[in-house]
Amino acid sequence: MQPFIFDIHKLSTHDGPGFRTVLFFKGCPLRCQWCHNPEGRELNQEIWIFPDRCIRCGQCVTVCPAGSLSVGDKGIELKRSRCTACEFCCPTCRAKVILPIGKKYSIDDLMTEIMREKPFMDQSGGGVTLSGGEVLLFPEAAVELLKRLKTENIHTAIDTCGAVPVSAIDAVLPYTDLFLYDLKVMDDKLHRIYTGKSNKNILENLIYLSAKTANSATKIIIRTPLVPDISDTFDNIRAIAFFISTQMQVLPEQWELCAFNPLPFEKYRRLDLPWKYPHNLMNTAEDVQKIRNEAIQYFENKDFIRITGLTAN
Amino acid sequence: MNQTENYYRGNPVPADSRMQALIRRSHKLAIEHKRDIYVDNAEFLVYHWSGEAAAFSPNTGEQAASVNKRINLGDHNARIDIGGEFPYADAMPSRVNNFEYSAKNWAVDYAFFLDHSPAEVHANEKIAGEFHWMLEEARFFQYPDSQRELGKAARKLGAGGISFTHTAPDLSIGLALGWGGLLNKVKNNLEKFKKHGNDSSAAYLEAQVLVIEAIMRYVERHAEKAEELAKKEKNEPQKRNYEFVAANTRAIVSNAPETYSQAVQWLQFFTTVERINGHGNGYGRLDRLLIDFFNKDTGAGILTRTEAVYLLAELYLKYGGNYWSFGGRDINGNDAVNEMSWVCLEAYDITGGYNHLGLMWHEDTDKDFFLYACDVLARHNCGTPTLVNYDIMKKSQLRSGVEEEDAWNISYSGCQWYCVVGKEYNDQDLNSFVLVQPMQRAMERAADENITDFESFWPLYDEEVEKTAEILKDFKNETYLWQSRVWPEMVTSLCMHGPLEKGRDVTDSRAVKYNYTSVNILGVPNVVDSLYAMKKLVFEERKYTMSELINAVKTDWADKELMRLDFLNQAKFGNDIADVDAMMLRVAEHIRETLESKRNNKGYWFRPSLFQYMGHTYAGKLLGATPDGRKASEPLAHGNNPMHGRNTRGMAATMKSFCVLDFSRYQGGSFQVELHPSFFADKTNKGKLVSDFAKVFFNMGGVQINLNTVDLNKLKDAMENPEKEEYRELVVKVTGYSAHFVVMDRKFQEEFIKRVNYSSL
Repeated sequence: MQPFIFDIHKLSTHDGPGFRTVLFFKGCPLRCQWCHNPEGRELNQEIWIFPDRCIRCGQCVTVCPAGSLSVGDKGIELKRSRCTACEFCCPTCRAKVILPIGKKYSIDDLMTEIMREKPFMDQSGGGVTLSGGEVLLFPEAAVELLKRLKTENIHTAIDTCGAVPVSAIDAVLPYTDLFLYDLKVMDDKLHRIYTGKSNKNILENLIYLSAKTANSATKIIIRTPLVPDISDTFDNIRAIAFFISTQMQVLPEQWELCAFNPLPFEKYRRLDLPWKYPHNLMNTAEDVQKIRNEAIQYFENKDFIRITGLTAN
Repeated sequence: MNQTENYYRGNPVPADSRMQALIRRSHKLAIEHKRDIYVDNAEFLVYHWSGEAAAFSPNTGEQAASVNKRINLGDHNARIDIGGEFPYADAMPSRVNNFEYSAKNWAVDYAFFLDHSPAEVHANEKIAGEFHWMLEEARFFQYPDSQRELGKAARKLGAGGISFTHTAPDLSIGLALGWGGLLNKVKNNLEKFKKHGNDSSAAYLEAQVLVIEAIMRYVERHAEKAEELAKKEKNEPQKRNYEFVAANTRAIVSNAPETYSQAVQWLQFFTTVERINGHGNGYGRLDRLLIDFFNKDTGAGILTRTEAVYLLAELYLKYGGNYWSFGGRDINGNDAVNEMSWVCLEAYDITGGYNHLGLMWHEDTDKDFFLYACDVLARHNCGTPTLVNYDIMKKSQLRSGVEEEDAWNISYSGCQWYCVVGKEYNDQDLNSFVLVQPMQRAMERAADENITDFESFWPLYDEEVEKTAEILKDFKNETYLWQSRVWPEMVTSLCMHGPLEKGRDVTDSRAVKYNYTSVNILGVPNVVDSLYAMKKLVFEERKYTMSELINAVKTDWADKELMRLDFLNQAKFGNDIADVDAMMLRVAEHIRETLESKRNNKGYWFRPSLFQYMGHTYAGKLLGATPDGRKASEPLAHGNNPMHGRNTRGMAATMKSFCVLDFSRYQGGSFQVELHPSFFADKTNKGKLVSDFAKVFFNMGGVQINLNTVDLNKLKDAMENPEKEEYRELVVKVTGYSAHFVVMDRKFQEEFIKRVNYSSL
C-alpha cells in the first residue's frame, strides 16, 4: 500500500494539540474555489513549475516525449494540455524548476519520517494529523497507518471535509483521537456552487460521527474557513451555530473560525491555474471578531469558539 | 516583603513612569547609534584580527579606523557615544612621559583616564555610572612586531585572533570586600612579595594600588555629583532619587555594600570600570550574587520586590546588555533556581528589548521558572534569555580537566561562552580557524599529486589543517608572552581567585587555575558539504576532475552553472542523512583532535568551538566560492548550523544532524532558529511551545539555542525603510549577541534575511 502524499508538514502547531506531523494525502472530492492546497486535489501525478529558478539550460526540452516544454523569455514554459506528467523532465532539471508534486510512500517510509519527530510529540502532547486533499478517500491506507501510530502510542487526528462514504469514517474511528471536521457553507445551493458538491452527505456524516463519539474519548473540532462574502456571512455563521447546537450530540471540543488569506496565490501560479480572489483580500481582526461575537451568542460555553489563522498584524 | 504588595512570581508590576523614562532613554541611545560597536574590517570578522588595532575597532583616537571603512556590528556596546575624542587624550601619561609595555605604565594611564572620565548622575536614575570613551581610544594598543608578523603568517594559512576572553570574574569577592577591602588585600600581598623579594609581583600589585585608588575616587565623585544635584533639585521625587544615589555611592566608596541596592550599584560600578578598559566579560551568576542581599533586605522590610526588580532593570539598561546568567545547579547538584532567579527574569520582563542574559537549563530546573523564561523569550521576541544546557557545559569542562569542585560553578559568559566563575581565563571569543582554507590547499595538492580517491585525499587535508593549527598555536603563544604587559585586565584580576595572591595579572601565565585557548571554527558545514560533494563527484563518480573543480570555484562558477548545481544538489548536512552526518562527525572530530594536541605556553590545550559569530557573513570575498555549490557572494554557514536553506527535511532532521556531535567534547556550538511569527499564531501559551521545543533539543544533547521569531520578509522591508516607526524596536539575536536590526551593517542584514524562516517545520 503506497499512499500518495503531496506534502509533509512537521512541527505544525495548527492542526491539533502540540507539535504535529501532518501528512497531506493527494486527491479530494471537493473543488472549493478558495482551496489553499490546489496541488492536492487531483488523484493523478502532476508537476509544477518554479520558473524564477530557471537557468534556461534546455535539458528538460530534449527529454520531453510530448513536446510540451519550451524555453521562453521567463524561463521554461509548459503546455499543460500536452503534458502527460510522465516526469521524465524532473530528474534532468538541476535547478529544480520542474518538480513532481509529492510522491508515493510506503507505510514504513512514512513511519520513519514520523518517528523522527516523536520526541517533539512526546514533549508537547502532539501527534500526527492525516490531512489532504482528503485522507478518507483512502481508508485502507489511513487505517494501516493509524494502527501503526497507535502501536507507537501517538495521538492521531483526521482532518476531513466530510464528503466521504460513511464507511470510511467507521474504518478510521477506532484509531482516531481527534477529527478536524470542516463545515464550510450551510446553504446547499451555494455549497454546490463553491465546492462542486452538495453538503448533504457532509452534514449526515457529522451527525453520525457526533453520535458515535458522544460517549468516547474521541473529540471533534469543527473548522469553518471564513471566505469573504461566501462563508463569513452572518447567515452562514448562524446556520452553522444552529446545526452544531441542535444536531450534534455533544458540543464539539472547539469551533475554529479560520481567517482567510490570499497566500495560495503563488501555488496557483505554479500550476498555471487562475486564483479568483484579489491579492489583498483577507479578513481583518475586527471582521473576525464580529463574526465570533455573532457566533458565541448561541452557546453558553463561549470559549470553545476560537479564531485562527489571522496573518494581518 | 511588603505585605500590601499584590505580587506573585512571573508577574512583575509594569514599569512606572520613572522606569519608563529610563527605558525610553536606553532605547533612544540605541536607535540614535550611540551604542554602536565597530570592527576595523572584514578580516577582523573572518580572522578575528584586523591587522590594524589590537582591539576591537576603537571608536575614536589614533587607532580608530575611518568611519567609511569600519563595519558596524550594531548596538552591542556599553559605551555611550557623546561625540568627539577623549578630551584629555594628549595629556595621557604614556604620551607626555613615556610609553612602555608594563602593568605599571598601563595602570598609570588607566588611573589618569578614569580620573578624567566624567562622573554623571542622570535624572530618574537610582543606579549611576556610565562612560563615553574607552582606554584604547587614548592609549597605544598594539603588540610588538614579533607577534604581528606571526599574526600575518597565521592569517595566510587561515587563522588569527586577539585575546579578549569573555571570562567571568567572581564578583562575590568584590561584593564581600568592597573597594577598600580589595585595596587591603592588594597591600597585604604587596608586603608579602616585598618581604620575599619578588620584584615583579610587587610591581604588579603597586600598579593595582593605582587602579583601585582611581576607582575609589571615581565612585566618590559620583557621590559628590549626586549630593550636589540633590541640593539644587526642587522637584521632591527627583531630589530623593539623587539622595538615594548619593547615599549608596558614598556608602560603597570603600566599604562593602550592605544592602541590595548598594550591591546592585556596586555591580554597575564594577562592570563600568572594567568595560572602560576596552572590552567586556561575562559577570557570572546574578541570582547567586544577589540572593543574600535580597533575602536580608526583604526580610527586614526595607526592600519591596518591585523595588528589587526595578533596580535590577536599571542595571540591565545602564550597561546595555550584560552577560549575566541564572539557574544552573548548586554545589550539590541541586537546582540552583532561587527567588532571585525570578526577580532577575522579571526585571528583564519589564524592560524587554535588547539584552544578553543566559538561562542555564538542566532537567531538574524548576518547571514553572523555565516556562516563565520561555514565555518571556517568546513574548518579548528579542532572543532573551539565551537558553543553554548547564549539564553539557559542565560535562565539557570536566572532560577538559576542570576539577569537580570547580566545574559546578560555571556561568554562561558571552555569545556562546562559559567558564568557571573566577577561576578560569579561557581565551575564548576571538580566536578563529577558517577551515575552508586548509581544504582549499589540500585540493591544490590533490590536483598536483593526481590523487584519485578520497581516502588518499584525506591525509593531505589532515596535513594542511595541522599546519594552520600549528601556526595559530605559535601566534597565540607569542601573544601570551606579551599580553599582561601590553593590555593587562587589572580590574578583572581583582575579582579572580589567584592574581592578587600571586601578584600576577589574570592575563599572565597561570595566574588563575585554568587557562585554555578556545578557537572558533569557521565554515565547518561548508567543508563537510564540500568534502562530501567532492567525494561523490570527483572521486567516486569521476564526473569532474579536481582541476576542473579548482578552476570552477576560483572563477566563482563562471559559465559553470550546471556544474555548480551538480555540486549543490549533492546530499547536504542538516537532513539526517547518515553519510553526510558521518562526514560531519569526521571533520569536526578531526579538528578537535588536532587542536587538543596543541598546548599553549600556559600548559593548557586548545579547544574547538563550533561557532563563529559573524565571519560567515564576510567570508565570501576573502575565500571565494566553495565546492558545496556555494557562490562567493553567499555567506558561509552560520556556526555549525546547516548552510542557509539546505536543510529541507524539517527541524527534527536538522537537530538530529546537528546533535550527531557530542557537544561535551567541544566548547559550545549554538543552534540558531528563526521562527516565523505564524508558528505562534493563535496560540495562547507561546512559552509552552518554546519550552517543549528547547527541551527536545537539550535532551538530544544540544548545548545552546538562539531563538528569533521574525518575519524575514518584513525584515527586508526594514532594510529599505529603517525609519519606519514599526521597525524601531525590532531586536534580533544575531548570533550569540542581539542588536537592533535597523542599526546593523547592511551585510549582516542581508545574511540574516537569507536564513530559513520556519513557519511549519
